[in-house]
Amino acid sequence: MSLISLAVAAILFGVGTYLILQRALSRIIIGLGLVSHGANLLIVLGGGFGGVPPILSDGVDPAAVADPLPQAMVLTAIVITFGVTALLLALALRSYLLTGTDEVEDDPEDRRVAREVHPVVEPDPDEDMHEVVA
Amino acid sequence: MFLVLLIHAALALGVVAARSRLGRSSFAVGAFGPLSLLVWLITNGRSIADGIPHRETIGWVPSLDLVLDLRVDAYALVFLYVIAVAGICILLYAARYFGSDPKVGTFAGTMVLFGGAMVGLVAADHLLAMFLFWELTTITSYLLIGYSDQQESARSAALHAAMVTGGGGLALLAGMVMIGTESGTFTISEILANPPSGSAKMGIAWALVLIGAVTKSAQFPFHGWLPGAMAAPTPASAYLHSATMVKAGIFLVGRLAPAALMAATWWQPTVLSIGFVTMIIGGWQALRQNDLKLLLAYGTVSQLGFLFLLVGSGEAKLLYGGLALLVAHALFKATLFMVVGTIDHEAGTRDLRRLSGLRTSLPAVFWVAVLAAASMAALPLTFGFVAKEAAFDGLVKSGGGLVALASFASILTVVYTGRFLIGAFGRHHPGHEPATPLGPAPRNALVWAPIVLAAAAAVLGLVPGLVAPAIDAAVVASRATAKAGKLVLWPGLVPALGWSMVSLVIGSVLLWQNALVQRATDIVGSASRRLPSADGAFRRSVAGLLSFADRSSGLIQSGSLPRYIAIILLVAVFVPATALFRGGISGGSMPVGGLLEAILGLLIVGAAATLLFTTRRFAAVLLLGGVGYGVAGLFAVFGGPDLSLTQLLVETLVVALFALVLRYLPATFTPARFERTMRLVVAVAVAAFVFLGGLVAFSSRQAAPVSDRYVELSVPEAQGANVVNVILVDFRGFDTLGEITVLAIATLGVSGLVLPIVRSRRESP
Repeated sequence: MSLISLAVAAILFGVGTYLILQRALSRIIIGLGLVSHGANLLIVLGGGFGGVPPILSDGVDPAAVADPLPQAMVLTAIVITFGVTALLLALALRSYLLTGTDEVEDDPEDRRVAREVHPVVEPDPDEDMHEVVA
Repeated sequence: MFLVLLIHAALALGVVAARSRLGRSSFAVGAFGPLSLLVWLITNGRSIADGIPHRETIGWVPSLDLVLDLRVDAYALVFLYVIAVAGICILLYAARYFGSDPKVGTFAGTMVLFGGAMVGLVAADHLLAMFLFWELTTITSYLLIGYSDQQESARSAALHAAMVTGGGGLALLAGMVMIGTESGTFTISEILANPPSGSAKMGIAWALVLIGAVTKSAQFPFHGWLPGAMAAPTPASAYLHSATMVKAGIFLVGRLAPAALMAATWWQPTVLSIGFVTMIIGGWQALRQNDLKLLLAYGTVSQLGFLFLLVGSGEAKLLYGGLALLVAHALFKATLFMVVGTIDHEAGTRDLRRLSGLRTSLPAVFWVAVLAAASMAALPLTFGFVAKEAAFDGLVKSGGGLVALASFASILTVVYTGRFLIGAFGRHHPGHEPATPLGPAPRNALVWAPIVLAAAAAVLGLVPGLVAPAIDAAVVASRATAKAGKLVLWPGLVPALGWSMVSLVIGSVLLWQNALVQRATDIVGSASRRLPSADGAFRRSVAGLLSFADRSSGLIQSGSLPRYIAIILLVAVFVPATALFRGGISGGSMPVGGLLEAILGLLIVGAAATLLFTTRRFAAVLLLGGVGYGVAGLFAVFGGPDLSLTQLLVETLVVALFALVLRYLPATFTPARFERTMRLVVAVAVAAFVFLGGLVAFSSRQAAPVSDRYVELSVPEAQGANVVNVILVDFRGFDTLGEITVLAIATLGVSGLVLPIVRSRRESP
């Protein structure tokens, strides 16, 4: 770990977030890719100060190798990110071919709910004084 | 006692289950609930009144100290008798009041359940068990009030009652928990024997308990829900107003007042003030009502104020009169409600301006009403008079001019009682269409149920010695004071008699000069309409809450997906960030990093920054690839050649994939138009949080990494020199299996999405 790499990871998160918050689907996918890179970097940084590659051939001091566990986890993460990216790209493509646009639209139902306002009911002072007896 | 509760529950369920067969007879079957209570009271009442409380303990979750402790002492006995007698009469009355409709059976079941909850509330000796029954009465009363669910007014009245009493219930729960934890026990009898001493915390706890009682008993400023509860069918109103529901708050303050007095010096003055204000406001409002039921409802508010201050003050001499008045009030108020119900049933209206000639067409009802009304106005020879004398006597002995205030409120009582009688049985007002009963006078429970109660009150009025021992035992049980007061037919020439005679005379004169009273109430009424009323405050606060909810959900749930993500991210950042800043941020011994890192870092940041501004899709993809390659370089720097290679490979594949898809998409992005500031703020917040969080997290490692064992065992156990590979395929092989599964599913998804496109392109080029 080091300040420079930490800053790089943080910037990747920031730029990625900025892109994810847009409406063009392909930009969102690119933003997600950046955030994934940042996350992978963070995990590796969590392993400590680095070191020689964790390959125990002759003459390698086991105490000097880099932490292998974060590396194994990130390896898995890279591959899974690839799968997710491929799926998202397929979705974006399908969505573009069906709707003719690459943009995420507002949810119409949520829009309707947001516009709805409860009516304030004023009681009727001249209500009938006879109750309804079933 | 537990059996009695079970009988109530079983009857309630049974009546609801058999509602289509029973129809309105459901009420008659349900009456076996209060009947079982009455039988129990008669068999056990004597020894309880002698000072030996009846106890039962049923383990519910004993390991959590959740046991159903029942304890009936002489104080509870008074309440239970009232619940039983009023319950039987009202349920039998209801069996003739309603038409035959299966829905009525559900109502009957709810009423029985409500009665059972009241019994449990009074008998429970555990604060939390008592609270459960308390809330059960809130819920069942909501269902009772909202019975005519086709009517907007009934629904809103039910909601009003439920929100006020339910909100008070929450305050009560908080207070009870505080009291229970402070005294180390939730058993009420133990708390009373050894009350927690005064402290700021206990002051808050008792205030919360008082709020619970004030809302339940419809005391100022929460009295608005009770007149609204008139939307309930009349039998339910009679039960709620006379014997149950509103008496729950009275019961609670009376039960806990001895302990509250030990901890809170403000308790007594507060209870007295609330009671007097409620008493006068209720009486005043009753003068202005034209609906007989509403008139009675405001009368109940007024009477409750009196009971609240008498029973809640914690003074033995006030408690004595209070309990006597409680019995008297239950008897005459239940009777009068049933009278109103019968009038409504026969004449089709409760408007006192329209009712006419009922004295001749419903003679029995008229005489019952006169009897009960005399008790309400406290005319001599009635039980109301006997009880009120006892109450006034206690007030005179307490001094401080309290009796003068009570006497003033009693003037109002006399006047509204007169209005009730004249309005119901006199002639219709000029300018209003008269309403008289059509058919012959009924000869069933509609008439004799009120007669039974009125007769009971009359007997008690003439022979108060019948009930005096029970009241005395109750005061002994609660305050350990014998002979705190007396119930006698004629008190002799004492100050209390003077005060009640003064209010009777002034009240009668005012009634005689009715026009004067009406003008006064009209003038004050139109002036006070501009003042904030409890009901208006409630409606405004509900409307305000709804519009706040509308606005806030409109703001948060706007339909904009970017905004949703922004909100989620901000919450995800700020919640841990507050914890981060509370702990303080220290970078520790984080190294800056080497030259190679700096160069790669610049490359990555440069590519990422350019990504922000580019509008050409293909350029964006290439920049993403550039970032990936840079990250691969950083991996190599940190000693991960496998990582580096995988990253390079995958990044190349990703760029290729993008290139395949981009063929179909337009060459440039539509430039993002809106919400640039929001995106910028969220992005900066996320980046800052990652940086600071990483700084703290990475410099606070304390344990040795688990991977030391992996390095140690890699060659001897798995015969592999590359530790990362060994972890993936051996030590954590199942993780890799999971990873492969994810990839397989993603492949299925991609082919499902893409293959139809490919096929359709092939068919129609």
